[in-house]
Amino acid sequence: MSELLRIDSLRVNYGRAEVLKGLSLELRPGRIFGLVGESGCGKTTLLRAVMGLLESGGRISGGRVLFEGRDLSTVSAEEMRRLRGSRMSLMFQNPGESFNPTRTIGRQFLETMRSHGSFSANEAMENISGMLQCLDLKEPERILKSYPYELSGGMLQRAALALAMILKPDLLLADEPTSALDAIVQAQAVKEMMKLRDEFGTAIVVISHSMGVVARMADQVGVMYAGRLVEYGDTGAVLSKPLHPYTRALMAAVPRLDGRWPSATDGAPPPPEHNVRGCGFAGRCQLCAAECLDRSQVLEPVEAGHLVACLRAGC
Amino acid sequence: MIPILFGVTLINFGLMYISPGDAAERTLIADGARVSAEVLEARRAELGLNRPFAVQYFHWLKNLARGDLGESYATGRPVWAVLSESLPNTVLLAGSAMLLTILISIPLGLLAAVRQNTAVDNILRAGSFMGLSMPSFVLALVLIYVFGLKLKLLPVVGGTGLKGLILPSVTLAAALTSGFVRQVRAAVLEELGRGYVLGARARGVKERYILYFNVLKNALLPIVTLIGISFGRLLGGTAVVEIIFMWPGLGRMAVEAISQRDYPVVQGYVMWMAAIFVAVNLVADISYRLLNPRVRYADEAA
Repeated sequence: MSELLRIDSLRVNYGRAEVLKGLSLELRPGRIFGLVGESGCGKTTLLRAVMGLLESGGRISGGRVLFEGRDLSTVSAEEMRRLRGSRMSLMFQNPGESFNPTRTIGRQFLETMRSHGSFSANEAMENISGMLQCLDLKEPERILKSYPYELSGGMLQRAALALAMILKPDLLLADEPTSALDAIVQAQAVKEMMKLRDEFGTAIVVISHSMGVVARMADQVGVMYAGRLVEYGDTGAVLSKPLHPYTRALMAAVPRLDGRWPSATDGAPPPPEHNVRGCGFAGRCQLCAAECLDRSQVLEPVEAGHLVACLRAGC
Repeated sequence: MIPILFGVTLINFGLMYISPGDAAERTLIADGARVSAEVLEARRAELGLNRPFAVQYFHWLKNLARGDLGESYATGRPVWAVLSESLPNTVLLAGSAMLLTILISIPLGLLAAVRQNTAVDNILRAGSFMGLSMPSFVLALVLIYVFGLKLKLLPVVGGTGLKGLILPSVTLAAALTSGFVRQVRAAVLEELGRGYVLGARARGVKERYILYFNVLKNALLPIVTLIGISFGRLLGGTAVVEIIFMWPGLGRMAVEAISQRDYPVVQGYVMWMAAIFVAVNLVADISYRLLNPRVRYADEAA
């Protein structure tokens, strides 16, 4: 039982729409897992299901989420609240989602800490300054006195990272933490997340649309499509030798500097309320064969540490 | 703000100018005797009523600036004296009705929002609709019947004391509260849907902190404006309730002045209303700034 997080064929429904269709993954302490896939494939839903914060109408309809071996569906709401923030934390693409615009950043740090234990003002201040300095944020006092709109987007996102990490959780779920940032700040944010991992041993699940971010950060990569993982493995293996046609399409869509135009894939994933027989990508796949349409595919190992759900993998 | 008040004085004076019957007629006829045209003319000249509109207006404005609103046609007493008799009573009634409304509607609105679409929410919704649709005079009579006549707990009419204040305040607060509960509920629900609430929950912030220090604070912004407008309206006097409860406030005074065509008193009343609305809006804007740092910031940057 060495996994920190283990997800066992998790299914999530919003009404009749099945957004996650049986997804499994495991994450060991201190490892970084990158999650890629186009918008609407269920990445955010996965993170929210782990946190127990599905939107109203959403429910886990099958499978389990195990955190340190405990099935989170058996944990009470109050205990779940205490886990959030102190043991597992979630950060968002838009720092506006992390901060209340009408209160100072310092107050929001304090409020978070005091929700998980009693801290004297001095003690809290020490912790917060330490965390901000660890992220190379200068002038922690000024930042704490500021309102969110008084900081630049990049500063605010780093403050949001500090806030998510203030109680040194074992697991950080980061939902496109770098998408709203320019390239330089993005690189900085990636460096900082990795530094936090090295310093506190935090395991991270990071969603990103940037293959570069995933390649830099992640130990393992999962490619999601229409509520399923279609390819899963060590970062080097998956990104250098993508086997699933969807992974290849994603990689081909990355803009390049050598003048070649990125190639787009036509169509969109099947809507979650459709119960697709066979492979969900079949309709957009150039390699699609007759058997792809009536057999659903499961992740199968192709080589050590590299799994693909495709009948025609590597063709 | 100042231009608004000037506009009000112009319209106020203009309406008085074009309305039938002038001060000369009113004061002489009020004495009861029929008077000849010459006497009337002489009196008009004496009062300066035959001068051009602009001259009269500026004369009136000058007096207004000194707090001189003229004299009541009906009693001959200075208008200011008439107003200042009713004013404290109206302020007292408006204040207690507003306080009651705030104390009841904010907790109930919050409760309705947090328990959205549950039995509690539905009961509060039904209550609000009843309160909104019941005319205040009906409620007033019901209250008088129950607490005055049956239970004999409170005086049936009047008395400006604390006991006499209860029933009119409750009557006024009932209608206001019904509207306020809906507004508070809507504002709180809107705030609960914002990203920062999810963010706070994702950090395990206690629901209590989220609700009281974050959501409620932000939801109060639109409510402050609403409180301002409602309070302004109450300060204008509430004729129906004041008359039913024999409460000697501004509303009752205004109705009496209108029915007696006592224009100077009506004019004074209108000026008071305008001043109150301007002042209340100013106070609401200021408190809005205090509550919302972004407004503060935008102003400083400008």
